[in-house]
Amino acid sequence: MSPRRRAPVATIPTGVAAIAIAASLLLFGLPLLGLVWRTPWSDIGTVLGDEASRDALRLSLVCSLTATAVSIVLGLPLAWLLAQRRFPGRSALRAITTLPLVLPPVVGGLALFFAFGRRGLVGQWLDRWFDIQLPFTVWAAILAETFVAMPFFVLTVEGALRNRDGRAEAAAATLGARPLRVFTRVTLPAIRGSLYAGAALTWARALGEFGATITFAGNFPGRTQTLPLAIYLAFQGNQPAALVLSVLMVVVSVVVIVVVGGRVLARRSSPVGVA
Amino acid sequence: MNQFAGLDADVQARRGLVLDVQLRVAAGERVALVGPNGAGKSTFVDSLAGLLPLDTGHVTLDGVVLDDRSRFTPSAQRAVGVLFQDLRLFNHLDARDNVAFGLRARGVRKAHARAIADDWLDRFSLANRARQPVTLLSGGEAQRVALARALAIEPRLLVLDEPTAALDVQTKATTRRWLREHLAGLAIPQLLVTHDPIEAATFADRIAVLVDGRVVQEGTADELRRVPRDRYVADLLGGNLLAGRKIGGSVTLERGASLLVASECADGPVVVSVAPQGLSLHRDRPATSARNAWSTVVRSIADDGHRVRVALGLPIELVAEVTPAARYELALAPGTTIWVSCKATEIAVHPA
Repeated sequence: MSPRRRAPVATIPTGVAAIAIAASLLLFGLPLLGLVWRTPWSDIGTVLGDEASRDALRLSLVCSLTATAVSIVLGLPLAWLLAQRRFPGRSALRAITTLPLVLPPVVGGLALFFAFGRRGLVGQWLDRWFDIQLPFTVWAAILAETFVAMPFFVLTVEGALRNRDGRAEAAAATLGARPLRVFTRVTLPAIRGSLYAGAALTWARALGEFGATITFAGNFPGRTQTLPLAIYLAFQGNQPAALVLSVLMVVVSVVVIVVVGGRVLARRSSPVGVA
Repeated sequence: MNQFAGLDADVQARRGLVLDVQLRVAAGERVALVGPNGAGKSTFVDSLAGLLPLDTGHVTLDGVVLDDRSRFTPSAQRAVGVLFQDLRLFNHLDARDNVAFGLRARGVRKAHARAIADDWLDRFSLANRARQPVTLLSGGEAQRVALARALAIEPRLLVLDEPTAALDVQTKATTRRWLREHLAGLAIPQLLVTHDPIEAATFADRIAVLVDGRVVQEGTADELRRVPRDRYVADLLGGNLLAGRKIGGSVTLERGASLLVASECADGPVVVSVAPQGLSLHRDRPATSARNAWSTVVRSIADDGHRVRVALGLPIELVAEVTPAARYELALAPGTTIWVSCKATEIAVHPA
C-alpha cells in the first residue's frame, strides 16, 4: 500500500483560505469564546454539585447512549437492506428513513405523540391492552432521540456498504460462509471506521436533542429533563447555571470528537478494507 | 444422472459478453483455460463458483448438479476452492484466521480450525507467519495463504484464476514451480485460468483456448502447437516451449540436446520459446550465420493452404511454420530428412 500523496497546500488561493479561516473562527470559534468568557467559573462546584444538574447529566447520558444502541441494533439491518441493489419500495423506505433529518424536531415530536400517545395510532392500543403510556416517560425521551438520531447511523453505514465492491464477500461465500456470516465477519469489520463514525454522529445528535424530546416527553426533572432541556429552562431564570451546563456539554462533545473522531479519521486515512 | 468424476460444465451465461463453454476436467486432471482479456474467463470462473447463475446448461461436480435450469446451489454450499487473481484475503484477520475462515464457516470449532490452519501454513512454509496481519505479507506469501485458505475447505474443484498475473517476473517463476509441486497428487479437478500461454503449457495436462466466450480448440500443448485450428491459437499457443537448464550462453534441454541462446536471463531452470516462424528449413547443411543448426526428420505436416506447420523429430521436437511454396520447394513429407537452423536471437528464454 503506497502512502497517499497529499495535495500541496499552496494550491488553495490565499483569499479562499482567508475566507475559510475567518468563517470558522467567527462562526464557530467566537460563540464558544463568548460562552467561556461569561461562564462564572467560581459557580462550577455549586452547579455541578446540584442534584438537578446531575440528574440532567445522568439522564442525558443514559438516554443518548440507549438511543445510540437502539439505532445500531435497528439501523444496521435497515442500512443493509437499503444498500441492496434494488427491490420494490426501496426509494420509499429511503425517503422515510431520511425524513427525520430534514423534519423540524418539534414536528417529529408531535408525530411521535400522535403515534404513541395515549390517543395515538398505536398508543391507544398500548394503553388499552398493556396499560403502557409512553409520553412523558424516560422511554419517550429515548424514543424521541432515536427518531431524530438514527438516520445519521443508517445513512453513514449505507454509504459505506454501497462503496463495497463485493469481491471479498464473494471470496467468503466460496469458502462456505452464508450471507449473515459474510456480513458480520467480512463486511462489518471492513467498514468499522464508518460504523464508529455513524455511531458517533448518532450519539452526538441524540445528546443534543431538544425539540422532539420536549414535545413528546415533556420536561420533567429527573425523568425526561435532559441537559439541553435543563439548560434552556435555566437560561430563563438562573443564567450562571445555564452557562456552566453549556460548558459541560461542550466538554463532553470535545471529548467525543477527540476520542472517537480522531480514531475514525486515523482509520479513514489508512485504507480500510480488503486488498 | 451424470456420474463423471470431476467437473462437467456446459455453461451459457452472459455478463457483457455471451459465454458458451463446454468443458470437462477429470478428478486429478489439470486443465488450463487460456484466452485473452475479455474472453469471458472471469465469467466462467464465477459461474463455477456459484457467483453467477447460468442462463442455460449445467455445472456438475462429481455427478452432483450444482446449477441447471431447475436448481442453483449457492456458493457457500459448493466446495469450489478459488484462488482469486486479487487474492481477496481478509485484511482484518491474521494469516491463520484467514485460512481457518472456511472451516469456521462450516461449523468447525475455533481451536480445531486454527490447528488445521496451522498445519496448512506449516506445509506451505508459512508457520512463522501465522499471526501476521495479511497486509504485512509479501506478494508470494499472501498468495500461499490464499491457496491454503482455498484448500483448507477440502474443495471438490480447485480454480486458479490468473495466479501469477499480479507478480513480478522472478516471483512468477518461483510461484509456478511452487504451485506445480504443491498441487501435484491433489486428487480433485484443477482448472487454471490464464492469459499466459507459457503458464498454461507448463502447468496443464490439457489446454482449452477461449476466444470471445467460446472454446475454439482443446488439446494437449503439443496438439495445439502441431495443428492449431485457427490463427489465434497458432499465435497464442503455436510457439515451441522447451524446458531446460541454462548455463552461460547455452541451454541444455531435457532430452540432452542443447541450444545456443543470447539472453540476459539468469542461469538455472528455464523455459525457452521459439516461434515456428523463427525456424528455417533447408535441404542441405545450411551455410548461414545462424548459431544453431541440426538435421532431423519430418514427423508430420499440417497444411491449411495458407501456412504449413511442420512437426520435427529428435533431437529437438519442434514445430516450424513455412509457406506452401517452401513446402513444395523442399519437397517436405513425413519421413523426409532436412536441416533446421535457428538464430540464437530467435530463442526467448524465461525463468522456470
